[in-house]
Amino acid sequence: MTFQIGSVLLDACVLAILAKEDTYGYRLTQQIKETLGVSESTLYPVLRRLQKEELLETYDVAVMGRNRRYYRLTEDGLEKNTEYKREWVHFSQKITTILEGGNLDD
Amino acid sequence: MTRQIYLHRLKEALEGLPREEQESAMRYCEEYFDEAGEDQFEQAVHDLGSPEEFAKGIRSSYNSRMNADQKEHKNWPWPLILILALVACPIWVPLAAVIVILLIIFGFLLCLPFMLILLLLFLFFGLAASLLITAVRMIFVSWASAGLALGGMLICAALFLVCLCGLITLIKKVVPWAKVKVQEGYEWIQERRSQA
Repeated sequence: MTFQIGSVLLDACVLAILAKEDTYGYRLTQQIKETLGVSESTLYPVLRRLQKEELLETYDVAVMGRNRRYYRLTEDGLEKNTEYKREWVHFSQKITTILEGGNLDD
Repeated sequence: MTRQIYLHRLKEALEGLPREEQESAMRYCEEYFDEAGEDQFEQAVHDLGSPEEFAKGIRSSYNSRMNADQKEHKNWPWPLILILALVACPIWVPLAAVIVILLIIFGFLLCLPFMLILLLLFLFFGLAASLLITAVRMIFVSWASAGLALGGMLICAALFLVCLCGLITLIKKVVPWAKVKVQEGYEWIQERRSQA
């Protein structure tokens, strides 16, 4: 991948994926790895931090004789997701404008 | 590397962190291997990195989280500060008094050029006016005295104009300078606020 993804953007992506549906660590990683090229070793700390910030919470589901830990957004997490999405629209429009040689003042 | 060895090395690398952090990380790792399955184990290890690398990421994330928490919860112990302030008042009261006096002197020195020029303005204006009156009164008594007074009046008027020009120049120089300083101060405060 040409562009590096910053920690805030990674937070935003994790929250957005979880906003769609609850999921578990391995699956979340596979989804993010495919699109963003972020390694697993950076993803676990992100999940842990978001959990500590009470943006997401975990619950266990019994699958094939063991527990699978699912992540889901809290109320705060949902709010944050909306905020990030709004910010992203604004930010990406500006970047696109610059890349296409437009004028930011318009 | 087998699964057992990986988990064992991870456990060692996580040593020193709170138990909850260790358990959460171990649990995540185990589950990750479970999900990947035995045939994908190598790929899973590749994803996670070495146990030491994985632990390093957790550790640095944990540390920065703790630092952020400490910053957030660093409350000033106000009662203690108040008591300390009261105890230390023999020191800071004279110090504050000296600083205030110095500030007053500094302000006075800043105003001094203005006050001096204003004083001279009034002086020359008064002299010129009184000499003019003298000249008018002397005109019927002695031509020579009237002429002398008129000459003095003109000199004073000239000096008055010189002082007036000086004052205008000074104001022209000081006002933009003060504006720049005020602007700088305002920007500095804005910057601090945005940083906070």
